Amino acid sequence: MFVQYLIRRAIGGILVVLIATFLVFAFIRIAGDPAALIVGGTGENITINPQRVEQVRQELGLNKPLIVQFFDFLKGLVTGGLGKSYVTGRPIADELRVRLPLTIEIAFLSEFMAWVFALPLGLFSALRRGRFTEALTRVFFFVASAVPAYWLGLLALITVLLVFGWRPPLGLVPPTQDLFTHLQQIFLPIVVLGFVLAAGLVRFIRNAVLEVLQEPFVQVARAKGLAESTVIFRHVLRNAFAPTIAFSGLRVGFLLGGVVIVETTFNLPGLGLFFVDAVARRDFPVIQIAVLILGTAFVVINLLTDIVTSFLDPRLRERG
Amino acid sequence: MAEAVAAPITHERTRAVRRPIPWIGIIVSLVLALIVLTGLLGPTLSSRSPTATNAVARLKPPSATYPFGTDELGRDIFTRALYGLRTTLLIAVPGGLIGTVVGTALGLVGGYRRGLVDFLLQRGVEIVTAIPSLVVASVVVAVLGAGRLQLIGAVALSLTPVGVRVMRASALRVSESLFCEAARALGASHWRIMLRHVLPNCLGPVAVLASLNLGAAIFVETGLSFLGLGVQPPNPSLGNMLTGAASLYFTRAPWMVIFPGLIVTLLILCFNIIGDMLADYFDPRLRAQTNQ
Repeated sequence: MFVQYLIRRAIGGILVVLIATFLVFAFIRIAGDPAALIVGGTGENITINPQRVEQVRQELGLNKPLIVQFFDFLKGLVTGGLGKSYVTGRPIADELRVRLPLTIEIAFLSEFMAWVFALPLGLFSALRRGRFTEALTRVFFFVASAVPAYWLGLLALITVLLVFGWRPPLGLVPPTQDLFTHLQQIFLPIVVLGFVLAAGLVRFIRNAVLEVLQEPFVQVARAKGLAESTVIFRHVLRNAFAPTIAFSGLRVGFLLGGVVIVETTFNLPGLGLFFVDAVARRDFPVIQIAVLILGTAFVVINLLTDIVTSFLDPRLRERG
Repeated sequence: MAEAVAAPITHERTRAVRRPIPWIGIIVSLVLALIVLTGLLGPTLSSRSPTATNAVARLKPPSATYPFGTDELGRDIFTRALYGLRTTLLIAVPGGLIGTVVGTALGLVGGYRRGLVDFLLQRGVEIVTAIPSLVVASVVVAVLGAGRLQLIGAVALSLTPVGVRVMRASALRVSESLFCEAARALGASHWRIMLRHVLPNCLGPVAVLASLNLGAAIFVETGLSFLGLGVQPPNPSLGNMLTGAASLYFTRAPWMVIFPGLIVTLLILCFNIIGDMLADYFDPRLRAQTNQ
């Protein structure tokens, strides 16, 4: 039953990604003229050389029917040829090999930092329920959800420079080369993004814990004389965990959007910066691949979330 | 049902439970109104030009003449922020409202009609939410360009799915209620039921949604401009004032980034607080749905 449910979800997910990719693919070709944009940009008074446009159209295969182009694109994905960046001429696959690990690292560590901020605060305010903790989580929620990550990033850089006279070393060093320098460089980005992500998480954890605390099994656990810490960690936390994981899974789009922002703010050469540069230069092959990867990440993480939550809460396996 | 109808009608006016006066809401609304008015009237408040450079007054810290200081070209940051605020508001507010209206309309139809329309809408929402909203908006801008109308469209599109989801949930619930059945029994058309019966009963969630969406719209617009994909320099926007030269000079001249970012944060904060208070007022359970 549960496996069937997962398979259905997986197929649905693949369809979602395929359609999303196709829509972007078609939108680029129908709503705009990529060849003209690549040649002329979007400036107003640029004269476009029609011969050059035709040449670009030939090179990119833009004169074929849309569906044929899309199948060519899919065929490329399967055989591993992701195409070339139109601006730099480098194969996209080569770029991704360097950029993707960094983006995954930042996303993972930022989410981790979000839990580091949110778990103690959310738990504390749920267990010491009262006006003060209520106000505390409220203020934290509002501040953290209103501050744009890029501004917070700049403020963090200004603060560490003015207060500690420290500035993260320039030019990102891979962790395999010098782990310590690398950690110095990604520390601020992950703290900033983690803080922003923690906003909704704190509130969710607080509510989830408060809800579980009202369940009869908590009373039973207390009645049979378990230590309060055992009640909290074994019974309450474990049961509040599953919905919280599900919540973070659904928010993964928010996380990925945040990664795009901090990579640009801190000039970290990951997928996000790759995408932003590609949009600025109308590098359509790169835009398509980036959207495909982001969509796939969303679907895969949601599927993983489903599996993890079903392990934490066996009742969820019943669905399907 | 019979008992409810037969309940004695007292002519003495029952005293409603008094809600405490929402001071925070009043203050926040005033602050928001002040910021918005400043943005709209801004350009008439300052006689300086947002793009006029002044080689003598480069990177000057805040002072009486330059309340927010000057940037690397000697441009007055206060004036630039006024113009930038107007630009941001003129894109984010229409974008946020259009996104809310379109999302609400689609959600209403989906939740009320169900069936195939609803199924297709749901899949559409899934597809758009699979891509981060900032990325959706970026793709629109990449293809259509970064003009004001395109940016409004990009912001609206990125916010539509939330509206569909929130409105659909309410419309589903309301359309099952007895008064809708009664209207149907009386022969009211689908449009009439949707617009006169379902929609008015979903106004609470829509008000919350509109407020939160306006905050999100400001986030998307300033985010796009920060990434260099939105409003193009030399025209100031609160987002693009933090990139370009600002990213080179901000450690020497922190005021270049502190003030524009502060205004963005205040704006989003105001919309979020108002949205939250509306949610509390209408139905605290709503919050769970609209939380990011």
